Amino acid sequence: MVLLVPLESCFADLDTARLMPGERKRLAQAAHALHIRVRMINHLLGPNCPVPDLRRARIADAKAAPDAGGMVDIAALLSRFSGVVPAPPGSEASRRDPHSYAAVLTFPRLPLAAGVLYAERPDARLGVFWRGPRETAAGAMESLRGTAGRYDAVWEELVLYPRKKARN
Amino acid sequence: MTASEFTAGIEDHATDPAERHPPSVQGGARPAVRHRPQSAPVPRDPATRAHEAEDRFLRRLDEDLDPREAGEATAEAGKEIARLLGMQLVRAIVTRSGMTLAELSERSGIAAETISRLSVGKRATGPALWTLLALAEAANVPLTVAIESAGA
Repeated sequence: MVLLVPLESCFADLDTARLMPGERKRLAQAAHALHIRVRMINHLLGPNCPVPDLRRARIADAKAAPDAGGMVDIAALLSRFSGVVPAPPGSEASRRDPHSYAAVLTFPRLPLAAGVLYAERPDARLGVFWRGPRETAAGAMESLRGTAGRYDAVWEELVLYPRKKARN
Repeated sequence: MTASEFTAGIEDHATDPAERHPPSVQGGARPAVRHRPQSAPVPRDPATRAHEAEDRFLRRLDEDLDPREAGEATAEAGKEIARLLGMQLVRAIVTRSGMTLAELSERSGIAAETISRLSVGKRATGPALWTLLALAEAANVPLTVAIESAGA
């Protein structure tokens, strides 16, 4: 059973200062749609989702064939992961949780994307730690690649999240 | 949104790995009392901070969106997840039944082609609830459909 954890940072305000009212409205619609879709992913991460199916090695397979073979439902989810960043060498996460990685999660027709971080120790979790325009998502993930401290901060917040307080 | 929630899953009696972790990680046991100066802020755990941030986020959305617009997005997301969750459940039922599609079809009254299409997500909105119930019953696989209480 994989725990879905939206972290505090994924609810940070989006920059709307230079937007016209109509654009602000469309951004709010997109933010709502992303929020609902991410929350509903939780239904897929229940007891019928084997933990290894979310590992990094499965992402390329899922992208190649999102609707064929294996646990197709999770493949469909993984096929939307991009900009994958493994825990940086030297980080606490890479030492204690070698399967941990961060990625961008996108949905068709949604201009906003989510940044997710997968952790497997001490138990399997998918944390949502970032939300923003699709075009800036890759940069947000890249900022984690060479910064062990930043990656560890997100990873630690995720693994310390009390399982019983998850609002899913 | 959090007052209740719907879950559907095939029962798995494996021990929850979370239960095997020390209380310090899970926050399940009360730590020894430490005296703190009254003026110092009490640090909040990541869950409390996240819940408060989510509530603020949802309040802002309420100001920006009318309920109909929000509902349309919810319906779209629901359809997609129903398709994927339906795939997951149908495949799990078929696998755990140990039956061929023909056998399961015969026992459930659901056409083999329908079962096959549902297992690969060919139906845009996933299987109907009655279809899942019939398949689970025919396969003798326990299926839980429940609404959880808040805080459960």
